[in-house]
Amino acid sequence: MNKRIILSLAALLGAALCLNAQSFQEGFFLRNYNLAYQYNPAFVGDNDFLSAGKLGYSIRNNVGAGSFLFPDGGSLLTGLNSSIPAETFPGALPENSRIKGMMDISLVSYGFRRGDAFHTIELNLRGTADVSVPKEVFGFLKQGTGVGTVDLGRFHVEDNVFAELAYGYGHKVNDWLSLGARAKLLVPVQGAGCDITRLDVTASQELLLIGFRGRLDMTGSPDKKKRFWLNGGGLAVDLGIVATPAEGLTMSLSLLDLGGMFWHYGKGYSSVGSFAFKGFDKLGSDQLNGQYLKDYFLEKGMDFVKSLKPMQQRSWWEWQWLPVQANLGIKYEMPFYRRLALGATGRYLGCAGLPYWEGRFGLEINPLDWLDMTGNFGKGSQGLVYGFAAAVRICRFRLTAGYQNGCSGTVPYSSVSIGPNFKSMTLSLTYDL
Amino acid sequence: MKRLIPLLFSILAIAGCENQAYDLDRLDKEVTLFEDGIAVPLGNVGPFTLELASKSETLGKVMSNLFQAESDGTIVCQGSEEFYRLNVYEVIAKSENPSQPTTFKIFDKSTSPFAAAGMFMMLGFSTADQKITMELTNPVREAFTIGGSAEYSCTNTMTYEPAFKETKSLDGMSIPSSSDKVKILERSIPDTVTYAVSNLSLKDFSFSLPGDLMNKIRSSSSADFVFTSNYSSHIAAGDRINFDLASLLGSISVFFKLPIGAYCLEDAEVSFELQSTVPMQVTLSDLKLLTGEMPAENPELEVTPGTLVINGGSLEKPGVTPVTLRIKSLSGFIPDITGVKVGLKLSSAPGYEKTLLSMKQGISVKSASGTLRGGITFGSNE
Repeated sequence: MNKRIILSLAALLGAALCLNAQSFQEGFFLRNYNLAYQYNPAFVGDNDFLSAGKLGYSIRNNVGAGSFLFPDGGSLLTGLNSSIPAETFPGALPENSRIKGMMDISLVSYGFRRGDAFHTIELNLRGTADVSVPKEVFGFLKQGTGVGTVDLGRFHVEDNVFAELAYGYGHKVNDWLSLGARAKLLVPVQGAGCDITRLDVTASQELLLIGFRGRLDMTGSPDKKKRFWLNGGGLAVDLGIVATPAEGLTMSLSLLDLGGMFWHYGKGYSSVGSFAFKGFDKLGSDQLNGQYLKDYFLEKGMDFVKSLKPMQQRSWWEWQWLPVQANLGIKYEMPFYRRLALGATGRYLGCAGLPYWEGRFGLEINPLDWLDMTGNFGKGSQGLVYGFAAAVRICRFRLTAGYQNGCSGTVPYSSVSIGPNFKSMTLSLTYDL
Repeated sequence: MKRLIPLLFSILAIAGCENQAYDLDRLDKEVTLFEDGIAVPLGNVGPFTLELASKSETLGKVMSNLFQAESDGTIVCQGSEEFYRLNVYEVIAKSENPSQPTTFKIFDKSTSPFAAAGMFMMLGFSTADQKITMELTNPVREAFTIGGSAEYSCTNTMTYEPAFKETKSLDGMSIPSSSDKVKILERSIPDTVTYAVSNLSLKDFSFSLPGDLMNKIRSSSSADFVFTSNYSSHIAAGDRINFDLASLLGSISVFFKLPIGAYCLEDAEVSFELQSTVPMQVTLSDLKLLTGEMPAENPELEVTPGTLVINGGSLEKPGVTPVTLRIKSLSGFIPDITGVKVGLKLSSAPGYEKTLLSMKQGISVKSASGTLRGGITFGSNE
């Protein structure tokens, strides 16, 4: 494989914590949040604004540190410790251990109110990363093979980054109903995916046999001379409806990212092969030393790499759906104190392989005109969740920050969750025009 | 309101808290892989031959002093010895009338020509293709005849009785003038005789010399009648090998270091085939592994089998011995192995008695494989 491929693979793995666009649902509760239309395009803003920076990320994982580490008295044991039974590790792991990350960077956003309509134009950069490791890998390390074949296939690593040019339109139909939609032009920027569909290991007294089938695909021009290359394109829409049937009561329903895009993988490599090791071949007495054996195994390692025999594949197109989001929200301003609102939100995220749902109760307080705070607590498909956000308006600037996390706890001095978890963060800055 | 906000932050603080039970400072790094076992092929090792051993500086020197190898590797014991010299001037001095022909007699002379073959006899091996010659160098520039006989015998090294004895008459044999190493005896010992020629003698030997020897000496530097014996023999396995080192000297210990203690193995098994082209049966008995800085037997280690019999073979028909060696710790893990103690016995291999010893014979390990049960442990704190 050439250097570029190796670097792409390394970047792919390093980007595992790179993340995707997630609607900032705390924005539903914040009154000073200009970008609420991203949660529901039917939200009609009161003022024109310009935004030159928004960063959001989320990470979801169906396994946490607690799937691999086990407290035992005063010690912390790994799953590979002999004290941990196989039923616990890897028995309790899901079929595939997955980490899925999403990123959303808003490069520029412009919104303007004209009569009952609110228009938004924005340019975003969004990305996803996904790593999936099959349970059999840990089973092989824990239990070995005895005499038999172990299938370690179903590895998957992927990252995609695409640009999004969106136009949004929200319209107050009447005093209590608003409708909105956003049309998004999607342009793939960079994508790569690696799948290992077969990795059989057969270990017996006569033979160690490894069978392999895998594929690596990357976007890019198959012709090195072409400096500019389109990696595909697509469309998506957001739809929303906001209703305020009674004073202080707001209800929101939105469907986001209905659509997808074509990806053109200009560079692809596939590998099918097998490697057999039958032991030493006439090892002599003068070769029974550490250095020779080390060199011997290094040579066998290189033979294994050569057996992978990557073959260049023709470029191909693939349609990928965006992970659709459905958001539902309701909030009610307390009649005795309008600056306090209680509410609830629900969300469904249809990511392939790791769908997500949650429901939360939320509270919002707006003690000062320039300060909003909100907090929420609920339960999702990966356990209990909580979140909080604040929006501050200073002169014409509005700074918003929000954080969501699960309740499984973290490993001390790190942000690694103990159990399956969902975590996200959003930071944005807008300027009222 | 005043109560609500602190409550909210308390909930958030509890929900996002670090779980001290997962503090990585407490992490036990002990990891055991392949707990249910794993088998791996180890392949072939060797062959380990005498030819390989002869490349060692010390051992090679010792071996080259004892025997040689023919082009095909067959071991041959060869010896050449000048066992008697008779100076012409001594004959002249003892002659009654030096100017006249004379018959000169010498006392019986004998030698043991078997060279290094004798060492092999002590170990129980047999000789094969034995050949003896006797030569006479004539320093006189005139031919003469000799008389008497040459007698040679082989001794049974167990009973010390003659296993073979023969006498050849030398009467009337002519020795050419000024000749070097004239063969006066050349005999291939019958194959039925498997003991080395231990005695070669001249009996009633006499020279029938011409007169006036003084003027017929070939050169002043070479005025001796020289008797030389030559011996060569291959070594065969035979049927007498019974070298029980264990009974003689007890178990022998071989020290080495196999650092497997760090991997916390409980039960390891190595299976292989020993392929031997050496025409001997080797019995390893009372096999024990040694452990510790001062290598000593470890009662907590069980080694099976305790006795191993390696079948003999030949280059044409190697002998195969399947072996499954299992090392099991009766408590805890297998520590570093620092040696092995074993009783050694060599005996004849049935069917290979006539096989000649060769430098190319040796032992190979074929189709070796290892099976680990209980896993391999790394990072143990013990």
